[in-house]
Order: sequence, then C-alpha cells, then structure tokens
Amino acid sequence: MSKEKDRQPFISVRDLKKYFCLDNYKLAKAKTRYIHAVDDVSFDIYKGEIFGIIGESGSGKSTIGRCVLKLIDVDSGEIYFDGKNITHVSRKEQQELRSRMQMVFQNPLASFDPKKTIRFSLEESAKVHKIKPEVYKARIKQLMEYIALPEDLLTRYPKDLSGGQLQRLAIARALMLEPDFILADEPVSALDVSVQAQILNLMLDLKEDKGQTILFISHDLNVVRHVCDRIAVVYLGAVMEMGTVEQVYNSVAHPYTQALISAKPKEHPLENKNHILLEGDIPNAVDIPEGCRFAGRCRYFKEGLCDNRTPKLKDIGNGHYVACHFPLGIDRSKTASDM
Amino acid sequence: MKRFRFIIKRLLSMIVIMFLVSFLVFVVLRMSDADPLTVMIGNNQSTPELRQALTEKYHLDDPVHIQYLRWIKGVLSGDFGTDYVDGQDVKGLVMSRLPITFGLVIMSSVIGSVIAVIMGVAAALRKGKPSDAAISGLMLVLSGAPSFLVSILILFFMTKYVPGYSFIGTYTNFGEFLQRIMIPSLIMALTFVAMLGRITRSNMINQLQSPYIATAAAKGLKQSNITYKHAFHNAVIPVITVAGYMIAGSIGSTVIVEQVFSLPGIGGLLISAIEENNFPIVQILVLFMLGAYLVMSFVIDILYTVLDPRVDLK
Repeated sequence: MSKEKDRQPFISVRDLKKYFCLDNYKLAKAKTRYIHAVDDVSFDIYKGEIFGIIGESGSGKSTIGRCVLKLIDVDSGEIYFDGKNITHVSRKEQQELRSRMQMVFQNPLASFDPKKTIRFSLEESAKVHKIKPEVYKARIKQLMEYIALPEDLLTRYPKDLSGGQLQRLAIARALMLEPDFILADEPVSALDVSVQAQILNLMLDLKEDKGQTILFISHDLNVVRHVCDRIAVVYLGAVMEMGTVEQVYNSVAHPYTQALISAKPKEHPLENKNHILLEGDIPNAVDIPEGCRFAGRCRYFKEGLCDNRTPKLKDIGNGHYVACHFPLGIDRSKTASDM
Repeated sequence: MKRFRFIIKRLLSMIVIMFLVSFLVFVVLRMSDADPLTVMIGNNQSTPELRQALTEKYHLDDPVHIQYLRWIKGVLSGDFGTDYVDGQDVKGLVMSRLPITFGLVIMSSVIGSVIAVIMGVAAALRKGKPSDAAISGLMLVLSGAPSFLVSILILFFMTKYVPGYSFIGTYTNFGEFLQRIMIPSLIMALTFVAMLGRITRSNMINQLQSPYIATAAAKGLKQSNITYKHAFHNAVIPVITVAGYMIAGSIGSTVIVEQVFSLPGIGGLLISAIEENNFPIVQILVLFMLGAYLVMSFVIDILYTVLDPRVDLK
C-alpha cells in the first residue's frame, strides 16, 4: 500500500459532478430538476492496475466512466490523465486523447455497427488516427492471434458472431490504437458465465502482458473480486467505500458494502451465511436525501446525525477510504462472515 | 447469380399477381348491377337494333372469362379498348393523363423525401431541445392536416394574394406544366414530411443511442462522420422502405389534389370513370396503379441489397 502512495496516479478524478437536466423546456419558471448522476466523486487509478467501480444499476457508475473518457461533458470537477488536466481540452487535443483511451461496452452486438464488417470496424479506428495500412494490417493479425480467433471472422458481420467472439473482437478493437487506458463498462454482464471467464482472463492477461490500465465497471461482486486490484463502491452517484480488493472484501467498513457482499450468491452450498436484506429501493436520484445517501436503508442509522450531515470520504488506514459516520470495525474479516 | 434468380422469381410473381387482380377486377365490375349497354347508350334512343349492334361490337354475350381473355389479349398487344361513354380510345385517354400524375408523384416524393430526411435528422441531432420540439410538433400537425383542406386553404390564399398565378386546368407547354404541378406537389409533399420525417427522427435517435455510436466517438471519429457514415446509414433503411410504399401509395392520393386543382391526371379520370360505370377505363387504371405499386416494392427490395450488405436474397 505504501508503494502506491509513492506512485503518481495515472488517472485522477477530483470532485466529479454530472447532473442531467430533467426538464428540457418548461413553460413556467419552475425549479429545474436534475438527476444527480455523479456527485463529488474522486478516485485515482494507477498505471497497470485494474480499478473497479461497483454499484447497483442507476448508481451512476457508467456515467463516471463516460466522463473519464470525455464522451460526455462534466459539470464540475477535474479529470487528470497522465498528469495533464483534460477536463476542458480543445478538439485537437481531445482527438489525440481518443487514441490513448478506448472502451469496451456491455452489449458486444450493439457496440458494432451492424452494417459494417468486423474488419471495417477494426480498421476504422486506425484510419481515423492515420496509422499506415501495413502497420494496422500487421496489428490486426497479431491481435486476432492474441484473442485466439481465426482471421476469417474479419469478413463477417456482427450478427454472424457469438457474444463471446464479439466481446473479444471489441477488446481487439480497443487495442487497435495501443491505448494507455481502457474503460470496460460491464464487459461481461451480457455474456454466459462460461464465456465470462474467457473475457475476464483476457483482461487479466492484458494487465500482465501489456501492463494495461483498465477501469472496470460492474455490478457483479464476484467478477470484480476476480479481476480488480482496487475498487470503489458507488451508491447514488457517490463513493461509499474505496480500497484494495482485500480491504473492501475482507475488512468491510461501510454498511452498504456489507449488505452488497452478503447479498452475493453463495459460492458453495454448504457455505454458511446470512443475507442482510436492504429494505426499500435505491432513492430517486432527483431528490437526494439530506445527510448520508444510504441513511434510509442503513441498519446502523442514527437519527440526528446520519440524516443531517453528509459523511466525508476519509482514510481509515492504508488507503482504505469510507464515507460513513460509523464505519464498521477495521478488521471485520471474521465478524463479516458471522453476521 | 443469386440476385439474378431473385429478380426472375419476383418478376414471375408480379406477373401472376397482375393477372389475378386484373381478372378479379374485371369479374367484379361485371357483377355490379350496372349494365354496360345502358352506359353506352346513355341519352340516345334505346332501340333493339342499337342494343344488338353494341352487344355484338363489344361481345357482351360471351361468358365473362372469354371477355376477359379478349380484353387482356388486347392490353398485352397495346390495345386498351374503347370506352363505354364516348367510344374514345382508352389508351390515348390514359396516356394524355399520365404526365400530370407522374409529375405530381415524382415531384412530391422528391421534395417530400428530401425535406423529411433533413428535418428528421436535424430533429434527432437536437433531441430534447426546443428546436426538436418545434420540428416534431410541426410534423405532428402536418400529419393530422387533411390534404384536401390544405389544398383548399392554399387555393384560397393564392387566389387572394397571388392573383396572376394560374395553377388550374390544362397546360400547353413545359413551363405551364411545372406551374400546374408545383403547388399540388408541395401539398402532397407535406404528407411525406409528416410521416417520413417522424420515422427518420425516431430511427436516427435509436441509432444515435446505440453503443456503436459511442464506440465510434471513442475511436475519435468526427461527429459528422459518426452521424452520416454510421447512424444515418443504419437509420435510412426503414426510411427507404416507408418512402417507397408512400410513393406507390401517392399515386392514389393524386386523386384528391387533381380534383381540387382540376388537373387532367389519371386520378380525376378514375373517379369519373367509376361514377359513369366506364368499365374499360376503371380496369386499366386499377391495373396501372397495381403495377406501379408492385414495381415500387420490387425496386425497394433491390435497393435493400445495395444499401445493406447483410441482406440475403431469398
């Protein structure tokens, strides 16, 4: 952990905010309502690590990813990429950034233009960034070998291929520009479990072989645990807990994370565990509750404090951050499974 | 080879449909209680000799299928017969009416499709903004406005404020021809804008929200390239289908504007022929409209394969 403190973060997100306007054209001068998709999110990603963002659907995890990739504009906050502030960059600089950050989506079929061959989709990124044909042709050959797919798939159309094949091709497409950073937005949640493993192993290979930096967004705790080095747990657009996989899984500090982990399906039928049932639904992202966002569903809710003051994200040791007034014991590895 | 076989198959099925429908129309017309002899005699004195002569001339005593075969043989050799009321050559009558109808259909579909696509794409790119609301609202109003009403309103305002513009009746040269069909074409084009524009908009929005568009953006493609090369290319196929059927259908809707603007097209001819029980004209015009419809859908299918490399011809 101390090693990480010395390292320069490769990507830094500071106080990121993204609100979506609900009322596009209103007649009366009513108060404009906003969806607080991302609210004051900060985290660092180091070079060569897989950083996971985990959260329920609607928690704003995809929006965070898209903001980092500059696919949508941020409302406030700063994003640093390789030491440079990229929050507001010119069109030309953005174009240059595009070749350094790529993304892989959840639905592999929809992420390919249905009317273009796979080869076209792969070559297009190279052509946009003016890479010479000899270079990108050779690169495609290498990549097809790397993802272990025959080259004759290149002449096919997306609908002819399976989800697993397409997702591997999507990864190959992301690698075409040899990016420094890849955003993987739920890359396996649309795939069969048997295929998921292939994709996850491919991602781990990328980290090991190429030192690839990856931002991995998912709602699947097992998947995140398997591939990520460090994770951030988001709830209603804010980070609840952040730390290494060991810290978050073995010494849970936030009641929300605890509930999430307890809701995870058993890995073994004889495993003894009690589910912590979260009551109610994730609150509406338009009217964010006062105080702690999780207060309404929390088992440890204290009136007067939790519904009043918003807990700050603070370090409880060795880079393990938690946003809670009453973090669970530092070492809960035993108690967490007993609960 | 595959394409060739597809074309042959489609052409054969078109021919079969044409024969079946023409036969049905022929038989149904003769099942109606209108008597061709009464129509032909009209206001003339009805004498047994005249009736006898006409029956023989038009072979009205033959069984229906023999009459049909005689008629269809004539049509195939370019002889559409003579009409019941004035005894005129049907072919000449139809031919003289074709330019107006074709002019209306082509002019209105070209203008309408172009405006519809531009407006649809523009609205989709500005989705949720006031300009989108304005364009969509306009298209919604247009789709609810009956074209006969719009025609009458425009006629009213044109006669009041542009008195020199003559747009009614026959024409003698090409300039006048254009002048005649311009306003009616614009009115017909409104239907295209209303329907096609909304289809273009919804399809574009659909495509623009697909992950492959975000992928294209992540690749670093320019926004214009993303919009046209990827999104539009995928959104345009259903638009073309609908446009094709709308063009085919607009042959029928020329009837209304031709009536309102007293234009000598086949729509007016068809209406008066139906009113007068003028069977030979009704038969040939129905056959003609059917043919136009079939040809259009054939063209759309061929276009599919050109535009969409994934489509297999079967």
